[in-house]
Formats: sequence, C-alpha cells, structure tokens
Amino acid sequence: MTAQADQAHANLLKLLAILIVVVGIAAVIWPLYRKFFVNEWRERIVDGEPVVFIPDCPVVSAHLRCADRYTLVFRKNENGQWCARVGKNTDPESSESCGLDIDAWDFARSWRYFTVEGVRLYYSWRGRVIITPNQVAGWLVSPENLALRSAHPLSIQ
Amino acid sequence: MNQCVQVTLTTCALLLATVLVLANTVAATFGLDSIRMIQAFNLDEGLSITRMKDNLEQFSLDPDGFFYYGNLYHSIAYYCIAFFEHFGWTINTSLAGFVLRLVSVVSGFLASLSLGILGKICKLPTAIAAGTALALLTMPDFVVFSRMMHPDVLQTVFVIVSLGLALLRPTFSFALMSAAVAGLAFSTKYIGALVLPFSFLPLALSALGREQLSSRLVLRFCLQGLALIGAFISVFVLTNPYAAFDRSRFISVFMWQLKYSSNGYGVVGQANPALWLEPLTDQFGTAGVLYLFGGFFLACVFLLRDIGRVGWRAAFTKDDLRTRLVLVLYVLTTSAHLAISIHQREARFTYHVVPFLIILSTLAIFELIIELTKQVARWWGIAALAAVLLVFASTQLKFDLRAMADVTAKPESEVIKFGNFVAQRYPADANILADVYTYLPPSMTNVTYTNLQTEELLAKVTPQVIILTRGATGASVWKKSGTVFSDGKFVTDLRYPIAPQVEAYLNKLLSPSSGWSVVRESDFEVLLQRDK
Repeated sequence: MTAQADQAHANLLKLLAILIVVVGIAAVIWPLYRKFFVNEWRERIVDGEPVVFIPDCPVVSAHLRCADRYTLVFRKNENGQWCARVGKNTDPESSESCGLDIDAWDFARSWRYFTVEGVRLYYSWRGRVIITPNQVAGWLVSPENLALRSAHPLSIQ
Repeated sequence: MNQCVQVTLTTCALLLATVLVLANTVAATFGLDSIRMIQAFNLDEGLSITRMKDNLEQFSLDPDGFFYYGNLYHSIAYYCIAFFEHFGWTINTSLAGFVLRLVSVVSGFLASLSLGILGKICKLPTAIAAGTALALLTMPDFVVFSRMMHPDVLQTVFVIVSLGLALLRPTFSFALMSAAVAGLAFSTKYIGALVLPFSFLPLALSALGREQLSSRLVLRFCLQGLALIGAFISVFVLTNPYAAFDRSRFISVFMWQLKYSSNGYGVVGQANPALWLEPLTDQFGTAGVLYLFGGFFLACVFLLRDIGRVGWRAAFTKDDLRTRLVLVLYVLTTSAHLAISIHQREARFTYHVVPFLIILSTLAIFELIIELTKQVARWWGIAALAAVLLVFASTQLKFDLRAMADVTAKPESEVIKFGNFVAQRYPADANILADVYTYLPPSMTNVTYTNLQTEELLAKVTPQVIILTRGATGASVWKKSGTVFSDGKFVTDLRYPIAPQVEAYLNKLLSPSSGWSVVRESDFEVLLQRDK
C-alpha cells in the first residue's frame, strides 16, 4: 500500500514537473509567437501608438516615393469617431482625417486598410502592406524598432 | 582490431577531417564583399543574404512568402547574427555572409560526427566508423554545400540524428525524440519528412517481435503514431510559424517546389532513374559507386539470410538485425522516391540517402571480412577496410582542396573584372538592365536585375546598357563555342519552352537597326550599349 502510494506520489510529482516546464517554456516563448494570434499592428493602431509605413523600392504607386516614411497615428475624437494623422518623414505639419472605420476591409478580412497620399493601403498581421492583392507596397515598422535600427545601422550592401 | 592500429587510423581520420573543416572555414570567407558579388557566383546565396538583410532591418524572421525551404537554417543564422549584434558588433555583408556559411560548415562537421556515431551504434569498429564519417565529409558536393548559405547540410544532420535516435533504443520516448528531430529536418528542407515513418518503425518492429498482433497493440500503435505526428507537426509549427499561419501561400509554394524538383531545372527532365548514376559517379567515382551499391546489395543478401535463420519475429527483437532491416528499408524507400519522383538530379538531393548507403555498404563489407577470415587475418582485414576508407577520403580531399582554390580566386575572376570594367566605363547612375549572375560594384546604383530579358522588359526599363549572361537569359540560347556574339551563331536548347522567344530577342539586339552594339564579351557574359 505504501509502495503504491509512493508510486502515485512520484507520478504526480513527475506530472507537476512536466507541467511547470511546459508552462515555463510557453511563458518564455509566448512574446515571440504572440503576433501569430493577435494582430499587433491593429492593436497599436487601436491604442493610438504610431506605426510607420516604409514603401518598398522601387515604389508601386506614383503617389509614393522610395525614401519617404509615413508615420500614422490613430485616435478616437470626442464624437467617438476614429481619426488618423499621417506625417511624412519629419514634417511636423500633418493633416487629420476623421470618420474612419479601422476594421473596414475590402477583399479579405485579414487585410484592413488606411490611406496615405490618397492611396488606399492594406495591411495584414505580418505588417506587410499591399495596394492590390498582387501588388506589394511596403512594410509597417514600429518607431521603436526604427530607432533601434538607426542606433545600430546595418552595413550589408 | 589491434588497439594501436585502430588508434592510429582513427587519429588519421580526425586529422583529415580537421584539415577539411578548417580549409572549408577559410574558403567560406572569400567572395563576401557585397551582395552583388555573392549573387554573381551563386543566386541562392544572394537571395539568402538579401533575406537576412531584410529580416535584420525589421527585427523579424518573416520569410515574406519564401517557403521554398523551411526557415530553420535561416532562423539559426539570424539568431547567431543577432547575438553578435547584441554585443555591439557591426553587421556588414562579410560578417552576415560568413555566419550563414559557418552554420553550414558546422552542420557538415556535425553530420559527419553523427554518421560516425551511427556507425558505432551499428557496431562498426571505431576506425571504420570514422572512415565512413570521413567518406561523407569529403564527398565533393557535400563539401561545397558545407560552405554555402544553403539548408541542405543542416537537414542532413537532422536526418541522421533522427534515424539514429530511433535506432538507438526502440522505446516510445526515443521514437518521440526521433520524430521531433525529423520535424527539425522537415523545418529545414521538406524532404526531411521522409524520415518520420522510420522514427516509428524500430519501435513498432520491436513490439511486433515481443507481442502477438492484437487489436490492443494496433490501438497502441495508432496512439503512438499520432503522438509522433503531433511532435513532428509541433516542431514544424514552432520553427516555421509563418508557414503555419500563412497556410494557403505555404501550400501553394510547397506544391510548386514538389513539381519543380520532380520536373527538373525548369525543363522536363527524363524519367530514366539510371541517370542518377551520373551525379553519384561524379561524387564517388566508379569504384566508389560500385562499393556503395555492391555493398548495399551484399547488405540485403546478408539481412535476408540472417532473418531466414532466426525468423521474422526473432529478428525484430534483435537490435543488430532490426537496425539493419530499418536502414535497408529506409534506403530502399528514399532511393525509390529519388528514382521515381525527383528529376532534378543534383547530388545534394541524395544527402538524406548517401550517409546510410555508406553505413550499410561498409557494414556488409565488414561482415564479409569477419566471415571470410580467421582471428589474426581478421584484424588485418578490418584494418585494411579502415585504411581503404581513409585512402579514398584522402583522394577526395585532394579534389576538395583544389575546388576550394577556385573559391579563393573569386575576387580576381573574369566575372568581377567584367563588372569593374562596366563601372569604370559608365557613370554610377547609368541605367543598366542586367541578367542575374552579373557582378556590378555597389557604386552602380541604377541596375535592374532579371532572370530573363524580354522585349517588354527592355521597353519598360529603357536601359543604356544591357548585360546578358549564360546562366540567365542565355540558359536556353547562347553563342556557339568559338564564335563571338555578333556572329549570330547560337546554340539553342529546345528543352526550354522559352528558347524561341529568347533567340528572337537576341537576334533583334544583333540586327543593324536595333541601335545596340557589343562592347565587351566573355564566354559567360555579353555587354551591349545603346548607340548614341
């Protein structure tokens, strides 16, 4: 009886140890995998945090320029409407447009959109930006990552 | 085998391996000046470093739809580079390129080491196991890919380790570990999926040897099989999350890749499986191929004889027989897959088969020596086999070191001189339409690269200069040997459906009214400029 109880106790401890290891590993790797379950770009937009759109070079629209960077900040105004302010490069002057639906989509629910220089751009959870389903326009980047990369520029050419 | 002879032969094998790995590491530092220099010699390497640059820029491992291989090799290199960056290292082309290549160098060494250990698991004497490891390590194509930004060699490590784990102990926990490592192989290159059934086979055979077949046993097999598949898929999802969460794109690229390798090189390859002998003979010579296939045939004969003696069920419970049976079945299955489904006949597509073929053939010849010789002669017979493997590897090493010498000449090669000539002759912003495999210094800023030049592209880019290469636009149509481009004498490879279109394009460039004239040409490249 005692031997059986010891065995059961050991099995329980083993199970507990496995559980702790699994939960521990999951907790450590969760930040790396979070973006696959939560659209972090939409989350930033909803939270009013800036996102930066960097067009791919060569550009796919005459309205965009290769070296430009567009910073978008969304907020809800006093009427409960979503407004977006789009800043180009370091230009402090930026216009705000309101009455937006940040969850609107055209061809696929996973591609929401915003407008830059009059061009409707669609973004996905990956941060990839397209103009049409077959035309890639650029990337979304967080200003924090941009600053980090500016501090440690790559010299791969 | 005499202990002293064994130690001497093993030490020789280690020394040869050290020479090869060190030489390959040094060779891996050449030709890394710029992305353009890298891609001038190898498109896959150019693509790899460009992807790495994008990923490092964005602090992300997003392959952006590049699902032609798994992302594991790239991820390992990414984290290695990020590790150096964390300590303030400047990440330039040379460092990033070298780290990518170093992953392959280390993988090559690990693959060889794993094969040596597998040889020991199969009860080969240490010196012979070291010889088999060296036979893989010195295989010329394997040496090339062991210093290349490419996932093939890393995949080989995982395949050997996966099968080795399954064979080491026929228990569920080892089968599970084997399936997880098979998942890593699949995460590196998709052909690694072929190992998964063989992660389960030793466990299943062992159980069948000990227990009567019953519905309970079948149910247990089903549950264990599901667990192994679960481990395999989990590892793939964890190491290739973008493929898992971008499934439609992943599946479409995966299917394209399957079709591409089963067709071969963009043209429809011949179905004749005997054509595989050509790349194998290139790698091992006629004697080597005879050794591999003769040894494999002998291994099959010995296996059938031994199973016949003890019976199937008893054979399943004996470690030695079960191991040989699984290895033979693995080699037969993967060889059949290569023979039937893969028409892209490159030696690297055999990396998941050749190591096991080396082990099996050596095992068979070892067994033959044991059976044919008496005690004293047996020692010398075994020592002779180990020595033969070392002599073979030394011969291979000679070829490998010569091939490395070509790599060290990259910066002074004709391709680089050609590019420097263009940079000296034209302004930095000259509008250039260039085939891939063209080298142009980074100072040339207005270059459009393409795999295939067409009249439409020419009209769109309106270049001032065109560079054609034999590897891209010229793959299907190129000037006849001994002629110059303006002679208009071309050799057309009609296996390429695009060949007539390319020929028309080249003839149009050559016509007097085209407005284009040849400025410089080599066997590999042609430079044309627009007449003023």
